[in-house]
Amino acid sequence: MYNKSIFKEQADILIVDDTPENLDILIQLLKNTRYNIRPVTSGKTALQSVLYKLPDLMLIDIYMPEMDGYTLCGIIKNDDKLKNIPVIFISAHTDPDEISKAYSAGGVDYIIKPFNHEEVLKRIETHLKIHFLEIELDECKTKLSKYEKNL
Amino acid sequence: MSNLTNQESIPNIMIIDDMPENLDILSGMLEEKGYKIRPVTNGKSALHSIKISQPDLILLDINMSEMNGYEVCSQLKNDEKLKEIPIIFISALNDTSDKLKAFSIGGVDYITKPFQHDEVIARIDTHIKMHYMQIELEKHNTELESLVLSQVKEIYDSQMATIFSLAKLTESRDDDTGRHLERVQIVCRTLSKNLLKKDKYEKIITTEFIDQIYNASPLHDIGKVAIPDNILLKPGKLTAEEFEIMKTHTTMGAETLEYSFKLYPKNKFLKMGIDIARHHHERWDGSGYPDKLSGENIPLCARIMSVVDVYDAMRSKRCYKEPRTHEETLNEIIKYGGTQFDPEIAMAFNDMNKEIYDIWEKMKD
Repeated sequence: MYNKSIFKEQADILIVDDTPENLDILIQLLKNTRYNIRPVTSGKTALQSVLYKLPDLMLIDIYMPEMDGYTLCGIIKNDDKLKNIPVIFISAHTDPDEISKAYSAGGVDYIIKPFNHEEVLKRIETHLKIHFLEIELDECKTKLSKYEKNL
Repeated sequence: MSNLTNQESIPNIMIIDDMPENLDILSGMLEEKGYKIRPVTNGKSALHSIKISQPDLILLDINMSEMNGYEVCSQLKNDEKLKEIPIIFISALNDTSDKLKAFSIGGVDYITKPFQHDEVIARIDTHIKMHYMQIELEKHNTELESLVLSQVKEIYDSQMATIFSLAKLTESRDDDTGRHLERVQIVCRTLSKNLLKKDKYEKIITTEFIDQIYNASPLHDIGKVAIPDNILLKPGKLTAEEFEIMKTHTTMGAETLEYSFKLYPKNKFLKMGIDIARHHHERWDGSGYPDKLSGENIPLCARIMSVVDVYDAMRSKRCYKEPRTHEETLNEIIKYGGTQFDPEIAMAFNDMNKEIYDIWEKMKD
């Protein structure tokens, strides 16, 4: 069903969490996938890293000192160059208001800790697929309009 | 996140849950978002309904009496026509084994009870969006493909038209041959289609062959460009020496095309053009020119061309001769089947002589 070309390049995932143990869990979980993992421990480093090279997806912890996950996500969603990066929040909070806040900050999904591995992998895969489909669709539209002009 | 207003149709979501209050809550949330909802209270009627009209997405409760959600999912995933419909499971919060099984049997995600409004909307939006993007991408790819095809066809057609014009130009030096090339194209095609009906040619004459002979047949005499006027346009009989020069139109034509064929060695159209130009004066008994080939050593396209060319030449008026009737010409072709012409092709020509007569009458000069 999915176009084969979707994962032609290695997807790049930026993980932001201030707790090294949490980062480690996610790194272990994603270690055996084809994804390229970039772990960072603060929102500030995350922004530097994002500007250096755009990731295809971000996993962001909500509660972090200095800059929390919502703020980080807000900055990304307000930047035209960055706003297309899908953001998935990861948090131990099950409070509906928190979940609601995460979505309104621009997150595409919210994963509650402790999570099960299959769930995380599946959600990442889903949003990467959408991300690459968007890129492919854009390329397809450009190609189509080029052809139409030449006809 | 989802852009429902841009979509041509309203996404259609089926909710399967045996608890009416769950159906109510979910329907309420999703109708508010603009989705069209189809609530069903058991697996059996859901399957029945899905087969009649496919939803864009299914929300499926795991714990149902009679048929549970896993069974419904398995049945859908085993059906070629239905297996692509995304299924989101409805599960009790924090039941890890439920979630694991939901993913492993083909669910794309799950939502948890009690329902979190934002979570439900986000998960459904995600999968509806993906579903529609895939449809859109497919549509674009089909469109792109058909555009490329029509462009290729345009280029091909214009090439063929250009080639035909050049062949026509070389022909214009010749005395009143009129629409000889147009007739030859059509008769070659008609005769090839008839030969196709014979078992022997079933695999040799393809639609590609028929298309190629239609386009390559006008090239048969292009070598005449190299024949001096005093020979080409001579009203009387050619001397032996003059005839030797006249015969070189076959090799000259073929050599010209071979130059292009070296650049495009995979081009079957050029290959056929070469065969036709070089061998359309060969005779079945081996007494023709330039290579004195005989029988089936003469390429099939050239054997067809030879009959068609002779018919057209005999029926046409030339500065040195009057036209012959259809019957006279046909009799000659039959008579020389086995000596000048491939006997089978002469027979096929006879079989469809009425059709060829009609073509000729419609297109005569």
